[in-house]
Parts: sequence; C-alpha cells; structure tokens
Amino acid sequence: MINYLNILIYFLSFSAILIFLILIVFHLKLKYNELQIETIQEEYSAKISSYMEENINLEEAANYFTGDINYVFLKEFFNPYLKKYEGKKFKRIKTLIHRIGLIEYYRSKLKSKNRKEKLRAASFLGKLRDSDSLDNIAKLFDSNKKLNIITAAWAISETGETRYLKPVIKALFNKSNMTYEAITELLVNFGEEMCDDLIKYINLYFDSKSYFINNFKSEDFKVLSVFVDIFGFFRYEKSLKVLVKLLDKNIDPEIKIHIFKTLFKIGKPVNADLLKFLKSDNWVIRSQCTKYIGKIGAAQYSSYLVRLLKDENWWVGYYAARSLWKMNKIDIMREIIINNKPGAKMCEYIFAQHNFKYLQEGQ
Amino acid sequence: MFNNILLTVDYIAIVYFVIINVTYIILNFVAFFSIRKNQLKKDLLDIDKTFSSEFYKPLSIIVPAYNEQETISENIKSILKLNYPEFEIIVVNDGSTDNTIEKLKEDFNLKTFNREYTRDIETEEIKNIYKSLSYPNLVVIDKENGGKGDALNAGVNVAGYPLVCNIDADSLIDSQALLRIVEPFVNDWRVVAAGGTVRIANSCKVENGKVKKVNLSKKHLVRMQVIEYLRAFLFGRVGWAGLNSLLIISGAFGVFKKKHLIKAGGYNTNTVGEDMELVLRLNRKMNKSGRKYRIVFLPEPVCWTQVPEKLKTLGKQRKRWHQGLGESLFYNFQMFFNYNYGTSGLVAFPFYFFIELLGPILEVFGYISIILTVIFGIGGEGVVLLFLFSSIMLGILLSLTSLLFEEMTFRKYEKTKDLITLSFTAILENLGYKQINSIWRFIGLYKLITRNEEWGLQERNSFEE
Repeated sequence: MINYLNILIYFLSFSAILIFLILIVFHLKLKYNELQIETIQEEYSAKISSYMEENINLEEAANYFTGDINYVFLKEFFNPYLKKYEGKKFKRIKTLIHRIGLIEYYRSKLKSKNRKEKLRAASFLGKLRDSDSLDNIAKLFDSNKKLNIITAAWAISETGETRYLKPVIKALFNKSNMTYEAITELLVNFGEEMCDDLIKYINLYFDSKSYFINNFKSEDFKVLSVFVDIFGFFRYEKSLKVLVKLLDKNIDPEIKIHIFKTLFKIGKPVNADLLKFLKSDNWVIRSQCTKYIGKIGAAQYSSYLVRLLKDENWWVGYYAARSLWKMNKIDIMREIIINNKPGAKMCEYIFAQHNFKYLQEGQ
Repeated sequence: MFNNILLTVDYIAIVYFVIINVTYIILNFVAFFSIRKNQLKKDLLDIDKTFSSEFYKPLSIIVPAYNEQETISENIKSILKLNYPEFEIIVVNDGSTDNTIEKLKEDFNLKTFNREYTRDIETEEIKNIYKSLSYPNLVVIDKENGGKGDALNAGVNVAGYPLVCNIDADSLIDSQALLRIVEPFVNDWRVVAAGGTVRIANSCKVENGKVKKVNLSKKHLVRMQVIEYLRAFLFGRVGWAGLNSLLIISGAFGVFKKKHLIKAGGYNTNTVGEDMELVLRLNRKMNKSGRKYRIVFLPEPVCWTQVPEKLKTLGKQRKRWHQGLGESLFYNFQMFFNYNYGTSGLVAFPFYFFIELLGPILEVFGYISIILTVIFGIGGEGVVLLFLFSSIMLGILLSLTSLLFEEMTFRKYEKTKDLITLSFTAILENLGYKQINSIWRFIGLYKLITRNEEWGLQERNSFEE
C-alpha cells in the first residue's frame, strides 16, 4: 500500500512540476510571439497605408506580403480593414488580398475536412464578399450544427447575394435557436434590395396561406414578424401597401405590433381606418397605434386620443398625451388639466417633460 | 474501537478530498474546451454587428445600494459609461442609514418622477422614485430597508426593459461586458439567464471607473483568493455550465429575462444566498413549465470586485456564503437526485449538497482525526499521512491546472513574475488557507442549523485609491 501511495505522490509531484514548467514556457513563448507580431504589424500597416494612398502599386504591395506565408496571421491582420472600408477602398484591399493568394488559400480551406478551418474560411470569405465561394459556404447548411448554420448565414448575408435569401431564411428558422431580433439583424446584411423579394414572398402568402410553411418550413407569424421589421429597418416605403393589407387580415396580434412599429419608423400616412386598432383589446397594439398617429399627425383621431388619456394602461395614456402634444392640441390638454378631467395628470406630465407652462399669468 | 473509528474517519475524509479535487479537475477540463469553443464562436461572429442596428434587446441595470455613500457615485458613473446601445440604470437605495441618497441627489441632479410600475413582486414600501436631469437613463428608487433581495425585487418591478441585469454597487464592469453577456439572449431564444465572471480588483489600476491594468496584490490573502476565484468561480462554473447544470449566477453580475424572473417569484428575501436560490428556483419553474431553457455562464464578461484583505472580514463573508448555500439548497430540495432535472438534479445538486455543503464536516473532523491518529500513534498513521499528502498534491495540481488554463485562454496576468508568484500561491493555498476556509464553512453550517444570521459588511475602499 505504502509503495503505491509513494508512486502516486511521485506521479502527482511530477505532474505539478510539469504543469508549472508548461505554464512558464507557454507564457514566455506567447510574450515573444506578441512582440514579434507587434513589430510586423507596424510594418504591414505602413505598407497598407502606402498602398491605399496609391503611393505603391498592387505588384509592389503584393510582393511585400507574399513573403509571409502565415495566412492565419494575414487573415487576422486584414480583417479590420475589411470591416473599415467600403466601395472603392474595399475593392482595392480585396484586390490585394486576392493577389497575395489569401482568397485561394481560404477557398481551399472551405473544402477542408477540419470543421474549425472550414468555418473560419467561410467567415473570412463572407467578409471578403467572395461570391465564387457561395455554393461551398451554402453546403454548411446541410449540417445540423448550429454554429455551422449561423456562420454560413452570416457569411452569405455579407456578400449581399439575394439569390441565397430563401435558403438562409429557411436554415435560420429551422436549424438555429436565434431570436427574431438576431435573425433580422443578420438578414439586413443582404441590403435594401432584398425588400422587393420579401414583398414578393408576402404576396405569394396572400395567394396561398401555406406558402411560408411550404417554402420556409416555418409558421407565418415568425416569418412575417421578421419581414416587417426589415421593412422598418430600411424605412421601406414601397412596403406600405402590403403592410396595410396585412393589417386587414386576421393575423397574429404580435405581427400587428411589429407593423405599427414599422409604420412609425417609416413615418408616412397609410390609407387605412386606424380606429379599430385604437379600440383593440391588446394594449400594446393600442399604444403602438397611438404612437404612430402622433408621428403622422393624423388629427382626425384626436377626439379618440382624448378618450385614451384615461386608458387603463399607463403607456397607452402616455402615448395618447404625447401624440396630442405632437399634433399641437395644447388647448385641449390645458382644458383637461384646468377642469381636472380624466387624463389631467398625464397631460401635466407631458407638459412638464417639455418644460411647458400651461397656466397663463393670473390663472 | 476508538482506533477503528479514527481510521475510518481518516479514510472517509481522504476519499472526500480526492472526490472534490478530481471533480474540479474534470470541471476544469470541461471548462477549458467550453472556453475554446466560445472563443471560436467569438472569432466567427462579429459581436459589434449584433448590436450595430436597432434589434438589440434593451437592458435595465439594477444596482442595490445599502450604506454605499463612499463609492456609489464613482461606481454609477462607471456604469453610465458602459458600451451598450440602450440601457437604464435603476439604483435602489435600500433604506441606507448613511447619506447614500443625499449623495446621489447631489451628484446626479435627481428630481422626483411619477414613473408607473407594477407590483409584480411584493417588496417593502417605495418612498420615492427619482430621475436624473443630468443622465436621462438614470432612475433612483428610495425604499424602506428590506435586504438585498428585496431591493433587487423593487428594481425588477420598476425596470422598463425585457432584460434585467443585477450589478453590485461596489463592482466594476468591463466596457464590453454588457454586450457579451446579452449576446446569448439574442442568439439563443432558450437562454433565460446568464452569469458573468467575477475577478479580483484589489491592487488593479483603475481609471475613470475602468480597470486599466491588472496587477497582482502583494497581500497573500488576496492572492489565495485569486487562485480560488480561478478554480471555483471561473473554471468551476464554466464547467458546470458546459454540463448544462449551472446552479449559481453571482449576485455581483448576472442578466435575467424579466418575464421569467417575475414568473419565478423574484429574489427570495429570506436567505443570504438570494443569487443561488433564484437560479435554483428558476431551474425548477422553467422545468415545470415545460419550456426549453438554458442558463449560461460566460467566462469573458468580467465584473471586478474588491475582496476582503483581512482574515476576519473574509471569515464573515465565507460563513455567510455557506449559510446562503445551505438555505438555497434546502428551499429547492425537490431537485435532489430528481431525474426530471437531468444532470442538474442528478449530479450538480447532490455535488453541492454532499461535497460543498456537508464537506466541511468531513474536512474539519478529518483533519482532527488525522492529527489524533498521528499523536496517538494508533498504527497505520504512515498510510494516512501519505494519503493526506496525495490529496494535498492533487489540490496543488488542480490549482496549477486552473492557472495554466487561465494563461491559455484569458491571460489577465501579463507579468511573468505574477505568474510565478501565483504558482507558489497555488501550492501555499493548500497548506493552511484551505483548512481555515473549512473551519469558516463549518461555522457557517452550524449557523445555518441554529438559524443564527449574521450580516457581514465588507470595508470598501474607493477603487481609484
């Protein structure tokens, strides 16, 4: 027994010493690498500046970088530039990256069997907006691993190629756990051009109720909520017609809330009777509709807004008072306060927020 | 007879030491791979893009404060500077007996405000709600004293956003920490709660409410806690989260979905371990509701806190923590070996119960028994001592492994000298500090049984001092 214990103690002591040595060697090696990288990075950054300012040409810049075969480092080095530049500058840096052979290298990595390498390649090629890699990136959708799906979707969306819009939406709804917000955030990368496609899909949904289930394998309210938010993000006025049409349909109240938020963002009047939404049982719909009415200044609803000042929900009352203020209905609000009618406190609150003295001298 | 009892206790204690250290070594490995996976995710997904447009989730930060007049303003100013697109700060003055509320009124230009709120969770009476005229996203609640849990509940009631974050008034948050801790709520609808890492700020260089340089304290007691925080609070928790069995989110820094926090009933005001109790109850309620859920722990969103520098204060803190642990486990005992809760019920809960909660009994009696075995020379003491030595070596190995993983992942301690010092601390910590800790925890357990509640207030210095 004692012998076994002695062996165990020797083993544990040896392991502890070994870990300590690994720790110190690892630490010193990293420190050394960091110093090296710092120096190289300074030199490389200076070269990139010269190239971007057209002081040196593509060949000169490319020859300088081609000497470095550490593609992983080069990828990390170029990433911030890809984020920073747009338009002509983006094209210029992309041409250099292409000339160095980095794109070819990562295209080959995209076919690698190593999952991590494949994902890193997809992410980088997406940032480079490399359309030629799209088919290979889209193959990642065949996987059931969530990180594969999200990486591929981000990469494709960054290229802005709307022909991949449908498979991306389908994959995100079915194979990821992303929230609506995250899906919307990702999809807006495709750019405003995608909005026409979304309108087309909604019109197809009007023709056939099962369109979203059949084509995106997802429930209507999920897909519609995301689409409506995207219209709001781009303040896409051409979507007003389908939005109004959706409001008329017997759809999930959650979508109606999204629609009013989008209408508020677009800020244009629509040809629809909003009174029924002001009378909705759902307080969020009432409040969002009230807010929208204030934004577009639809004075025809002001008498109903006065009624909403005493709504059982604080936010509805608040937006009603705010909308009346925006529509410059100060006299009505003052009269409510002076006569201490229901909603007086809310009107007072809005006046105080705007530092407005509603009582004239002597009152 | 006496000899046999003594030897039996010796062996049980040693087996216990081996179990706890081996479990933590396994958790460290799970944590290491989990962190590497997280880092790959971080490389692939651009966090700035996730929050660049208007689809982020706004956040209410609740800061409970009790007698914090010295540090409150400095800390609120640092929270106001955090990098997050839309957030409100709700400071809850929990009936402080010093000048906390006056200090806040003066420094932040507060005015009373008739903000509507729902009493979703019962709390002590709210005297006033103030809004800052200088900082539009700052709200201050002045309420009757009800304890930390009660203050947090009042904050939850007033919070206007779907996510609520609790931050201790005496903590500092890294500027990117909010973005990182909210990210899982955006990318995974199942996430209902997320915890961040708490690190030690003593001796760090702090400027404008931010930790500018991580320094290792010159005080041995603080260094011991650095190793302890790495081993148990960083890798231990990441490891449990990797096994989908996280049972605690630190009260110093955590984010919850408001809806589920309210459904779970808010913070328990009858325990000193309201943070752990909430997570356990959340597990129970979510499990009962049948909704898929996840409680995650993120190693990178970092919250910095000051740890006790005096043995007496540390002792009080540890006794209180142990009491809180016991109360939390007893309030949620139906999870114990309950297969409905998966690994949380079958592995994590029993581990916390037998090893973490009851462990100090074995530790204290084990040490006494080993000493008696050696003093009385009852035979077999050679084996017992070798066993004890092996278990101590295992503890050292565990602490060094934690340190190595820290270096391979976050590398907060940049100086070689600091790493060498920490390595020696990892050895020394097993020879005295751990034993004292066992005694404190043992007393905590005794106080739990005798219901003797003691509230320890830690002496704090201004971070920038």
